[in-house]
Amino acid sequence: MSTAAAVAAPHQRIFARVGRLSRFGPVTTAMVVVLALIVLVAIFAPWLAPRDPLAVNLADTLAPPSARHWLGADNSGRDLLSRLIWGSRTALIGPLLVVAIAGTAGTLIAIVSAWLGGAVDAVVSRILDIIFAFPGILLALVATAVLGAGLQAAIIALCIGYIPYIARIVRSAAIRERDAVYVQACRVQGLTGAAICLRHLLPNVAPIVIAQMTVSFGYALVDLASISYLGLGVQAPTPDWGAMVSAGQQGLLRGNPTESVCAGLLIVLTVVAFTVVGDRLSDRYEMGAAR
Amino acid sequence: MIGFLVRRLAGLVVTLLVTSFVIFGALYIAPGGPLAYLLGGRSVTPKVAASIKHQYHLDDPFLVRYWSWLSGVLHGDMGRSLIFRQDVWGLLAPRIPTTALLIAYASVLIIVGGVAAGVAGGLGGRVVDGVTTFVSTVSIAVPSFVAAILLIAVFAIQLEWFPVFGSGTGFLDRVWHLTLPAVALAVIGFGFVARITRSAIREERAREHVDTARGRGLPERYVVRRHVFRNALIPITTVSGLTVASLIAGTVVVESAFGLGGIGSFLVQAVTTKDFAIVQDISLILVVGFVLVNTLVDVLYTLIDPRISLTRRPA
Repeated sequence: MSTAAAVAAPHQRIFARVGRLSRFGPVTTAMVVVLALIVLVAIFAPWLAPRDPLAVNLADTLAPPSARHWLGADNSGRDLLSRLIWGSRTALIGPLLVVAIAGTAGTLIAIVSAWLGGAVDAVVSRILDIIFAFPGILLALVATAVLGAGLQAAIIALCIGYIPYIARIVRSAAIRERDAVYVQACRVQGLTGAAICLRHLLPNVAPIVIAQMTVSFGYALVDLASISYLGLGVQAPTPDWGAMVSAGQQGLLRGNPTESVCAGLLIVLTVVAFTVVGDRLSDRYEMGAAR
Repeated sequence: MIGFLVRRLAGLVVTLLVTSFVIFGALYIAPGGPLAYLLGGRSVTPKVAASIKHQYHLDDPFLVRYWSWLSGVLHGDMGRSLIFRQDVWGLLAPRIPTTALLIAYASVLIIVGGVAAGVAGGLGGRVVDGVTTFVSTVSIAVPSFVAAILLIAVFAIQLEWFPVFGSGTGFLDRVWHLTLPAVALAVIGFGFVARITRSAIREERAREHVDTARGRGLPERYVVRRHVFRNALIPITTVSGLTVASLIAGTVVVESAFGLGGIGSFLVQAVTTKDFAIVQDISLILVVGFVLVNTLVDVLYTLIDPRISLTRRPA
């Protein structure tokens, strides 16, 4: 009897989890699945891609879909499907770095600034306003002018450019938490400011940080893809969705839009997924805060 | 009131000063700057290099060069392009109208289309609302260059309704040439404005004062116009303004996608050729435009909403 219950319990937990996921509604669930698929494709790209994404074969230039090339071939006769699969890697790694670095820095700055208040807060807010004056894409362009073309320059620029977007929201959440009763209770117990921030304040603002990072991931993807589209980001022959949209424009004008359209739609799908999931997460946080 | 405007103006000046300093400083420290271009790969004796530097004032201290650039810009002298061997302003002036018209065109599309779609979603039934939400969610995720190639594929190549490239001559021809670019530029902003409009209207419709107005027997049209829409206007104005500001940087991508001769595509060209004088000046113009529109929206928002007190800084 007791062993049967012990065996059944994990299953019930899995069912409960699936049930919780389905309470997100069909759209969000679908988008979570889409995200998981894209991440899996990026991780297993070498095994999933049917051909070498860099293998040039001029005999196949702009070839239509066939058994050899399921989606056809590009200008240089490279397999489109394989390039799209490998392209998911550059598409995800760039935004991941941006979001991780800007998210960490932004959260840290926001919490310190909200906790200390006064002059520190005023100066930090002013600096954030000034960074805010540079649209992300412009910052990335200037960075490529300074550091030379390549994803590296654009990523560094966006890491700085995205800090205010995260810090502003986290700062106002942190101010709300700072004045909460539980923080006063911690102070009465004699905890230091650093301990309260790290052990109590940070976990309470974490949901909004994660939600904001998820939404920002989509925007960073768009910005980086735009830079690659302009020819200043990922350089040929490395496969990248943004660069493929640009490369495919040649074929587009000659009546073969597959490369541009497929790469473009993959960008849209990925960004939709990140925005929907991120919005859903921040809705949940706001509901939690209102309660 | 006056104190508020003065404070905002002072903040604006500080922001612009710092941003101009950042733009100039970033390109000043760039490796392979103007000197490398002037030498064009030739190796010269340090003496010759020094004399070239002196001729182009590249050997002046940083702050002196920053000041001469900034004061030049303020007097309408934007410096010389080393690659075109021309005054930068002479190169930019003919390109600015295309960019300005593109931004204006896209702004109209965003505000008219976004508010209309948002109102439809906010007042309509389940189906209309569902469709609006779907369209706006997707359009937020469509980068302008993807919108550009989709529009070119469908409307320029398949249907041949619009030209593929170029900015046209004469006003009407220009508008016709700029239609697809303006739509591509407007897609993301349209989604944002539609979303905010929809949720603002939904929120206002659920408020007590609207129930009271209905209870007084006022006709629904009047309630919507006077009580729902007027209150919803505050967030709608703010988001529309911020969206229009973001178009300023968006032109860079759209102009390049459609081969338009505006300052946005010129910036990309200058970045590629490392023509730093042009990069500095166009970046400055775009940032100033962005900051000015943002400040204007901020001030307007504070003036429109009587609930915000002017003496305290909004948190």
